[in-house]
Amino acid sequence: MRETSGTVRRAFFLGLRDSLGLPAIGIVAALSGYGVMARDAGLDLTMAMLSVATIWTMPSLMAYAELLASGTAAWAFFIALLVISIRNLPMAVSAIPVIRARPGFRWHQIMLAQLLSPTAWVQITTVGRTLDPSDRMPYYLGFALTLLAGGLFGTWISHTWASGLHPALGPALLLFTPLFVVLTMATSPKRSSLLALVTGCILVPPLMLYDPEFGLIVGGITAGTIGFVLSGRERRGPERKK
Amino acid sequence: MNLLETPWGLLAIAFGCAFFWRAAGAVLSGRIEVDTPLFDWCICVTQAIVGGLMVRAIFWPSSQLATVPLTDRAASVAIALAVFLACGKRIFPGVVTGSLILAASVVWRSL
Repeated sequence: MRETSGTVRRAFFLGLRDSLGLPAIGIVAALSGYGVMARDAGLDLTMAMLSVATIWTMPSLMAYAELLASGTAAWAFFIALLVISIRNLPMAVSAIPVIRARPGFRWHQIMLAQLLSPTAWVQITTVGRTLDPSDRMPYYLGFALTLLAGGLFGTWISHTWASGLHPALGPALLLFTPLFVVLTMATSPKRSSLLALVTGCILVPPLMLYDPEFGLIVGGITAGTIGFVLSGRERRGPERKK
Repeated sequence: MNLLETPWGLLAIAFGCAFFWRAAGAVLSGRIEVDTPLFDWCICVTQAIVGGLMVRAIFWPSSQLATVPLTDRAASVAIALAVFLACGKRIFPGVVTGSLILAASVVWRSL
């Protein structure tokens, strides 16, 4: 078990220190791309910063900016974001029992869940488990708040300086973030998720050219179901052979 | 214009969707099983929608990325994917290489 001497402040700064480095660099870089994308989509700095602080997961943020730029109808936007955000549920369900010092629900746990990002989730469900239970919440807050600050900083700096960027840097940042999101999703250990990702990458864009709203929803459900069904068949295959 | 279709309205929808599932997760933590086929299917649909949107953002962009020729974008993505796989699915080598290749192509074409 990692030594934090049981003090809240020490655990908080341990979390802060652990997030500085690759996690914070990754978030600043990814959100720098989002800042340029949000600016191109017509969001002012306040809206861009507020969207980061409130939505706070890259897939949902990127979907927000992309759908805003493409002028998707509100009903399709709602269904897409509701489905995309469902990733937050298993993340919160598995992380909150690790973070909280005592069993049972408390209202402040909703605020803890609001700070969850995939990076913070990995950290608290791996490194967090090595800490004393009373140190986990301050550790998590130190880690997650630093990431949020890094994300806001990346968004601010790229949104503010987008027009003054070198002509090659803007497009590079606009490629960086979608690539980051796709490759992050491609690290999923589940074959069903990988198949759905590939099928969605092939099926959704052309269907959205035909009809933006139905292409997004019908294409997403169809591609996701294809990935799910194909991997299910594969899972059952070896069992039949036994 | 419908209030919900303004950037503020859409932000409210996006925040509401994200917050709803986070709050539900906090309330239900320890009480529900998330490793079920239904959740697997939901994650699959998420992967498909987000993957499709990201491909659209790269190959059918409404941003200044559209000023970069399609061949350059496709080559950058292909190289990023190759580096990602060659490095054992490490995200940063792939993403950084792809972005640098794209930046280099922009500089090269402007010479």
